[in-house]
Amino acid sequence: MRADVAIGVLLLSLSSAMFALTFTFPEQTVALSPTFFPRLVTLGMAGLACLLVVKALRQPRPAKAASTFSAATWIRQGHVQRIAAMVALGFVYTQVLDSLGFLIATGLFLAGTVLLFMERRWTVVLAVAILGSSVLYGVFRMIFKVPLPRFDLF
Amino acid sequence: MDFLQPVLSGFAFVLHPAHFPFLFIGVAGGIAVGVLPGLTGSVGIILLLPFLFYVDSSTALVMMCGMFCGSIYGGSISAILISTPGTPSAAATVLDGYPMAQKGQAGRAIGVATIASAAGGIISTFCLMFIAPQLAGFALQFGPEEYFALMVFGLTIIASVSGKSLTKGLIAGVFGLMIGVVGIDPIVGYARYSFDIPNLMTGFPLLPVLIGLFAISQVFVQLEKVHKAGGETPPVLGNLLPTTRELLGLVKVIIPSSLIGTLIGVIPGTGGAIASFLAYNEAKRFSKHPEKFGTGCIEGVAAPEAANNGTTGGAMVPLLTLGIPGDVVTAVMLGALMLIGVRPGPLLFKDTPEIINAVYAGLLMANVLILLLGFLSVRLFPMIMRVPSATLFPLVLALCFIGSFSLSNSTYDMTIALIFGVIGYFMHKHGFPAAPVVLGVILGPIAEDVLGRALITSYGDWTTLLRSPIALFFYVISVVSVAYSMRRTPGSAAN
Repeated sequence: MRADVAIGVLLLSLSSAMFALTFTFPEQTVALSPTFFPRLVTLGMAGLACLLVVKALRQPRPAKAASTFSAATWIRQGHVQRIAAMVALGFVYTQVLDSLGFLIATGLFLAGTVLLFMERRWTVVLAVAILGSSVLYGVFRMIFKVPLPRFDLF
Repeated sequence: MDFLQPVLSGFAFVLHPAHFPFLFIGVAGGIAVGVLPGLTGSVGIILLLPFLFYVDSSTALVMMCGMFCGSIYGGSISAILISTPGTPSAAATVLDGYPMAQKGQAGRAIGVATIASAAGGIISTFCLMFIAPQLAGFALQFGPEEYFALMVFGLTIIASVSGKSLTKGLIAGVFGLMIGVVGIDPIVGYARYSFDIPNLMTGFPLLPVLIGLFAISQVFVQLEKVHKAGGETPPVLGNLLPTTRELLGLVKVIIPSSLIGTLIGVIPGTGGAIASFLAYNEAKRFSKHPEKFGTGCIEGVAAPEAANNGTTGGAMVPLLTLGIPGDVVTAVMLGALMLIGVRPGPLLFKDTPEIINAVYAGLLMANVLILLLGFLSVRLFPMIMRVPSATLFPLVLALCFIGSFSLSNSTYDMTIALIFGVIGYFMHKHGFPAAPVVLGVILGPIAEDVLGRALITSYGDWTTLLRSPIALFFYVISVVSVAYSMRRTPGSAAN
């Protein structure tokens, strides 16, 4: 429930900021102003965020066993580290794709992802990395003519 | 014969060697996606998106129809074999399918599910062919006022697809609307919330948002399950075909169940899960031996399978005629259609009837393919279910990134997909459904556009929105829809 309170506060802050920004938009009196929809939507979100917080605070604290999501368990089981590593890997992949080229970057990305899925057999890791990147390159570059980046580091 | 001519031209299109392989890939891919727990029909449609840019609109739509029908059928396989429905609409199939598998009749249960799914899909396609043109003809009278009311109704579907918590569903829907207001506004062309960043001026690109919310988030979810014990080993299949007498007995279950499925599918915001449980309940109620339901009887497999595949044709009615999705998968399909430049609505029937004819023929052929593939590849299903997640999900993730990249050949779109993947993952963890976000992102900008046009033509007179009887009708059913959703999830208020 604490998570719901945090999410509610976050959404309330986001909607308040977006609402405040509408005052920098040009006003239009005929037909529909560019401010109308954003204000309507952000006010709606603010109301719903308050409702979420109020409901979370009014609800009795659930017994540990009944809880569907526990941050402590989540961290202890290593989920947070693996998810964070996956996000970091994905971010690095998007940043190096242009310079390393599709084949190398995707091969490394696939190898890293397979390892994060706890596969420790190197034959499988290499097979997925090499075959996966080659097949995707073949389909999208050769057949669909998508201009996938090529190695361009030097 | 006039009625048949368009369908025949649709068949000529679908069966052409240049187009048929795409339908085949759609159906086969859909079955695989349905069989694999962790992937759903909406993820399947998302994974098809990178390929859809390189084929014409009719082929793309036919491929998506194949994926839609195939995934709903495929969901029944894992429901029968390991008691884990591959898709939510196959949940009712577990009730009798799994007990049949435990009795050594898994093959027979899959055989019945295959026949019932194909029959349900074909019956619902015929209903689509009959209903859709009438509704589209009526919808041609709509002006901006009626369209705005229709979009309001479309947005009330958010309440129906909210899942356990209405508040969280509404928040997800409004979050989608917030994403939709970023970028150039449709009336004066002002770039809202762009902060002079060129990429933000056109708003968040729809494809990476969909890929992130539905597919990348799912990979993160699967990453958590790596340590969990391996799934149940699929049982021995045994015989596939039911006897002729059993088949004849199933006719009186399959036909009404298919019609229930079609009817439920036509109602926006309902979907296959409701249809399959309703059909199961009705089949039990009218059965001569209701006590056998739940212990592994073939009627208990046929009824939900005919109904959930029956929703496919039904759900296409509001999608194609009004541009309103019938369920989560068609909500994603609506997004996919917009991306390939097809705007569903009555004008689609008037301006591009060849697309509609291809959809009719594509849906019929997809169900014929389900029948063929279901029986021919039944021995492969247990093998597909054993594909290790360490191989499958990295490839899914790579395909997600390449799909995002191919939209505008930019790594910016890949980053957006990753960000929305993280958002989708946290939404999943905290019980916020992803489907309402899609509805908000797609329908919000359309609603703003038609509202603006209605106000321009009426010189800023807001009462114009309430003058049309059709618009009033949509406002009334919007209220009814929300009230029904609130009643259906009474505990939601507490969540």
